[in-house]
Amino acid sequence: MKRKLETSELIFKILSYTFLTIFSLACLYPFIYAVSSSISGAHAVDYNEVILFPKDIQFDAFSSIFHNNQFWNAYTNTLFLTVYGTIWAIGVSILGGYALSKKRLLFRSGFNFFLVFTMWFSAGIVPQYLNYLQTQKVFAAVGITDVKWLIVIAMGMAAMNIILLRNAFEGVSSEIEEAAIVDGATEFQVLTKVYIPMSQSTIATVALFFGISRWNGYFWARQMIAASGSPNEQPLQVFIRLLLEDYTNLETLASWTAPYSPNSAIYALIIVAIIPILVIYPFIQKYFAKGVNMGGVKE
Amino acid sequence: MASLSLQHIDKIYDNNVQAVYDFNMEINDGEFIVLVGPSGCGKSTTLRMVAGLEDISNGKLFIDGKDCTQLPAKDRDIAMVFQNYALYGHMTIYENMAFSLMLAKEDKYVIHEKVMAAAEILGLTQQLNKKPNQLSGGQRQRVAMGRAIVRNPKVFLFDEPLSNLDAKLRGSTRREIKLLHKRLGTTMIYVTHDQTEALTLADRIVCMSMGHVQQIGTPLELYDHPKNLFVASFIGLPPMNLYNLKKEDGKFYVEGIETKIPARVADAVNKSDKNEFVLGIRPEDIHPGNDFVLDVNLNENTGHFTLTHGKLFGKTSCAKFRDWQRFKVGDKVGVSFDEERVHLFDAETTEAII
Repeated sequence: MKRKLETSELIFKILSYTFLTIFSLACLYPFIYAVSSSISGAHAVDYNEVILFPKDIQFDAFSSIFHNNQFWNAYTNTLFLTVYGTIWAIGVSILGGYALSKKRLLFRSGFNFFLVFTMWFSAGIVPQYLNYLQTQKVFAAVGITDVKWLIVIAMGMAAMNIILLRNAFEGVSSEIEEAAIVDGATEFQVLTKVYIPMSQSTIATVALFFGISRWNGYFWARQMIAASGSPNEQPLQVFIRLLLEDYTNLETLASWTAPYSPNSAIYALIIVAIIPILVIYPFIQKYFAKGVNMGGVKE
Repeated sequence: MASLSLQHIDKIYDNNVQAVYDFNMEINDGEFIVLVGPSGCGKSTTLRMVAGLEDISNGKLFIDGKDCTQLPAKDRDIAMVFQNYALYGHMTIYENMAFSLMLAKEDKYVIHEKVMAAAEILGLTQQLNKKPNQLSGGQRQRVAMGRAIVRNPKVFLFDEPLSNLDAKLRGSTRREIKLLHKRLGTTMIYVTHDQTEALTLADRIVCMSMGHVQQIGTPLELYDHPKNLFVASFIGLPPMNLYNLKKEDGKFYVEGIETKIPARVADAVNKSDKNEFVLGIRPEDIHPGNDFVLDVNLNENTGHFTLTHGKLFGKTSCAKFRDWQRFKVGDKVGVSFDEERVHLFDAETTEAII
């Protein structure tokens, strides 16, 4: 039989549910609004008649985006930055986190200090900008002129993520490492065949962090592309931002005679930009709660 | 299979703490050696030096006549079973057992054959597709052994493999290890702090304390002829009863009480030029008799014998009697010692005299 709730418990439950409902609606509403606006007719959008559901439905805003070369160029650039950026960053972070997780690492506490120091005291935008410009020169000297590679490589390190991975690797029992060594594994095999698979939930999380930040990456991408003077390299976020900044740019997407509002074109762009993340998230989520470390050693 | 030779091995850590002092031993092919001692005695460190997981500070290690002192662990052809199993949690039991062979790039049919054979020996055939967290503690420890067996290594190392198992499982797994040794005939080195494991498993026991080897010998040698007070008190359960013995003006005082002592002990004392000794007698060597008086204050019945605790020479002592419940708390029981089995130690050097 179910226990009867006390009055205070009941009030608490009602309040919690009410608050959570309002909060989720507040999160959901802008998304619904964007979807509705993107497929509503020009008049409805321009005169703020769209409140929740779409009016005078049209799909021309989407189709004009899909037929736009600049959009596809930006989309490809973003994919490039996300895929290579994530692979590079996760690789660097795994190697860094693994080395820092080993007590026998020389100057370990020193390295850890400098790593954490950058989290507390960021250098600031100007030094970082100058640093990137300098890196760009070094890259140019070795023949890497594509600014996309500069963004991928120069932004490959995130102290927080290295620390997350370091902690995950520290969580793997030292006996497991010793067992692998006795089994004949080299240091690299210990990492790839034991540590990485046993920390896959953390690695998936960190990969998602990197992936999202590369996909949404805007500020540095914009600065560096401006510095390099090659607008064709701009990723999706920069492309959208430039459209918003100057409506005249929008004419490439929505001419004055089009059956939809320029705002609909922007909303459509925003939706197309976030869909990949919404699609990927459930696939990665399954790794989050999963602890594969369990059962291998007796605590 | 292999013989081992450990010559003058020291372990000194970076902070100058010395864990092992001058360890010397020749281990024969196929022998089962147990390193036993209390926590921090250096037994695990010694094992880890043999495994190659710790550097050897001084001395030499030979496996099958080959100098392995500087050889990395993976090239020593040894297998190790850890206290906490150390299984790879993300792999199935099959993959756990096959891992070392896959690293060695063995042919996959050979791997399959070896894993199946090892699983058969250990009764794990039904479990091969499971993950470690689906198995019980005893099964996991068997997987750890299976991982060692498939490699057919020169030497098997066990680091307190039974410590995490419950009492019943410990007994049965211990017997499995013994049978495994009979079946494989591989040289095995086994570390434990449990003397029952040491006595039941070993061909020879190495008893260690504070980094020093106290005695090396067969289980019965250590039990019947302990070389010093440490071995005498460490080996045996319940432990040996020990009493201070003093000789003054031709009289003998045990714990300050003047008393007669067994003739064999008196002879040894008289031959010695020292005056202070320690007299040792195991609980099962005290029998009902009329030489001394045991003032009973506690009985522990185990079924087939009774541990009777009480004061003997004013000191808390333990006697093991076959006919249980014969003595009651408060009884003053006449007892005698089995004269041939009385031990005498030099109080100063702690070395055994008889």
